[in-house]
Order: sequence, then C-alpha cells, then structure tokens
Amino acid sequence: MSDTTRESGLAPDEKLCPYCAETIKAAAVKCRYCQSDLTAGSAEESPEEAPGESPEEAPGESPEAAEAASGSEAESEPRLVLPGTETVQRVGAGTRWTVGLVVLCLVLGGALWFLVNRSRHPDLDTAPNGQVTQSAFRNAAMSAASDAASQILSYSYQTFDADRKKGRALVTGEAAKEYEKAMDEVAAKVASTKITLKASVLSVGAISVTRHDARLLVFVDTTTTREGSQSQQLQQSRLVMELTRKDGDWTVSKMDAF
Amino acid sequence: MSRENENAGIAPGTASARGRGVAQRASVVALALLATLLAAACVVVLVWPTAVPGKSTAEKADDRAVAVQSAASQVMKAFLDVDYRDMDPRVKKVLGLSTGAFKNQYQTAAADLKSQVQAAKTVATGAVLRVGIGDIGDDKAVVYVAADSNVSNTSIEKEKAEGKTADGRRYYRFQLTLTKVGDRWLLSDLQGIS
Repeated sequence: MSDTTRESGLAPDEKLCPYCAETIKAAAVKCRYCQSDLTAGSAEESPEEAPGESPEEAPGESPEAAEAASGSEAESEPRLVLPGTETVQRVGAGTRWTVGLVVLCLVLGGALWFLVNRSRHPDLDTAPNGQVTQSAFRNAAMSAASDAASQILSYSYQTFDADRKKGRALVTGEAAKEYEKAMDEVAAKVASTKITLKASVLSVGAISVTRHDARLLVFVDTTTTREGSQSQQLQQSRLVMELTRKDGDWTVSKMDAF
Repeated sequence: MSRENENAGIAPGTASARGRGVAQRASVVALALLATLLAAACVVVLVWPTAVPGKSTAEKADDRAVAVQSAASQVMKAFLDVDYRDMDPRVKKVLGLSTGAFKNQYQTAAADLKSQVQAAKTVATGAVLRVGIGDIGDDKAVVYVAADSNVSNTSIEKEKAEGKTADGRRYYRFQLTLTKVGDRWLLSDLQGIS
C-alpha cells in the first residue's frame, strides 16, 4: 500500500478523487475540484480496503488471488458446514440404528409369534417325558396296531401270497425280516395242510406313546381251520407291538408274543 | 443462505437436517423401547411353563396315566396273591384297593374264596408283565393287564407226585376298570379276557 502511494507521488495524507482523478486530501469527503460527494463511495468500501484503492482494481485481481480467495473460501466452508456435516453424520448413524432396531424388532416379533403359537396351539399334547397324551393320537396308534395284528396273523392257504404281501407292507425294519422268515417257515405247511388262520384282536392298550414310537399291549385270539374239518383250534395270545410313525402312518417295527 | 443463518454461521439445510435428526432420535428411542418389550415378552413366554405354579395339561394327563398303570399293577398283584395259610390280610388288601361293584362282589365271595383255597391248599404268586391303557378319563380308566401266576395246590402236587407233567404256570389277560375315588384309582370292575 505505501509503495503504491509513493509510486503515484501522493503524500500519506492525500488520495486521488475517484471521479476527476485530481489529488485531494485523504480525509476529504467532497472533491474540491469536481465537487463530487466522496462519502457514498466510502460507505460501500470494505472497512479493510485501503484508502486510495480504486473500485476498478477489484476486477483486476489475479487468477491466483481469485483462486486463493476461492481456496480460503473452500477452507472456510468446512468450518461453516461442519456443524451441518456433523448433523448429517448423526443422521447417518441414526439411520443405521433405526434400520438395525427395525430388523431386531421384526426378529423378536417373529420369535414371539412362534413361541406363543407353539404354546397355544401345539400340534400334539406332549408331556415333558415325551409321552403324547392326546386321545386321538393314541387311538390312531392303537387302531393301527389292531389292524396290523389282524392282517399279519391272518392268512389262508388259498390266498397265501396276497396275504403275505399285505402283511409285509405293514412291517418295517427288523420286524420285516422276522416276518419274511416266519412266513417262509410256514408257507409249505400252510399249503400242505390247507389251513386258514383268522386273527381277531380283542383289545389294545397303550403302554407308551411318543410322537414317533408306540408300545402297545394287544390281546389276540387266532382260530385255525383246516380245509374239510369242522373243528377249530383257538390260540389266545398276548403281544407287545412296537410301532414307528413315519409320514403320519404307523408301521410295525417289532412284535413279540409272551 | 438466509442472512440469519449466515450470521449464525449455519450451513444451508442445517436446520432441516437438525429437525430430521431429532425425529430420527425419537424413532430410535421408540424402536429400542419396542425391541425391549418384545424381548421381555419372549422371555416371559419361554419361562411361563416353569414360572407358573402347577403343571401343563399334558403333564397332568401323563401323571394320571402313570397313576392308573401303577394302581392297576398293584391291585392285580394283590388279587393274584393267594396263600391258604393267611388269606385274611390278602383279602383285606384287595378290598382296600377296590371300590364299587367289584368291591361288593369280592366282599361277598371272600368267604367262599377262603374256604376253597384252604381246601385246595392253594398258594399262588402273581406277576404283572404289562399294563396298557385302553381308555382314560378324569375319573375312569379302562386298562388291560397281562399277568402270570405260579400256582401250587393239592391237585398239582398230586399230578407231580404221580409223575405227570403238571404245570402250575397260569397266563392271564385281564380288563380292569378303575375309578378315581378322592385322589386314588381303585378297581371297580375286573374281567378276564378269554
């Protein structure tokens, strides 16, 4: 600033009138040459602007200066935006919390629905030891045992193969092997003696019934009739039948007479 | 940028962002409260069966079945227990485990029974092999029992003495009806299945 003043030949207390370019006192509020009012221009000037800097100098700013100004503005911008940025960051964190909590609520809601639904509408009344106490379920197991015992223990020399096939379909696992073995053993005798066995289940009681297995006490009478003979032979049996449930159907997995 | 915001040094959109932040904080608090309530409800439902005094319906039904099987086994064993030398306590035991029609019949037949076993010098010990429940309700149950008995009497001993094959083994199939009297299951009907 002082260099500029020296180069223009102005004394420290002088300035150029912005209207007529005549040298006037720096403190002048009115040009003594052109009578122009100098107060209006002073009011618009930045307080930091040095006296004597003409308004035309502003457009003459160098690109570097402009860039520096821009740079300083860019530097100052984060300071201005920072509070907002923090808010934005808080909003971002808040969104993550919101999403996380919504997911948590959905998971907990699903778990609660499952637990309530399970306790209120169990598919089977089951005691802690696994025993199913629902009458319909137990009756289904007993009915299956009754049907299976009747079918397995009834056969005739006339329909032996078909009877065997029906009986075979009702047994599974180790019982299936034992059934085949027993039928192999009696096949020849049944054909040669021309006998017919008819099993009648008198009663069935549940010893134990769980979701997948049942042990049942079965009382069976079997009458054996020989072709051409009027007499019948009666055998009274006590059986323990073990049944296995798969896909809703009960099949015989073990059958012991005692 | 408004002059007010400019003077306050607030960036554009900061006020609305701050408003959104407040709303979001409120929703986070509400969701956290909801999650806590749901978690508490899950815990309550999970621990309810053990926290609430008493048993579930299935547990009670299973206890009832066990009680019925035990009562059937006990009375059947008492019924098959015979000793001509000391029948009175045996008869008394059976009567103590029975009720209704069976109790009346047994009481009526007790005198004849005693005289018969004394005449035949009968001694028998029963063993209950299997008990199966046919039907069970709150105060009545139908039970099937498979039982064996080892019988000794003058007739069997005579056959043995004569060198004949005498088998004192007996195989039984019974249907019992049990009735609940107070908190006890008692025999109210007995049928042999033959």
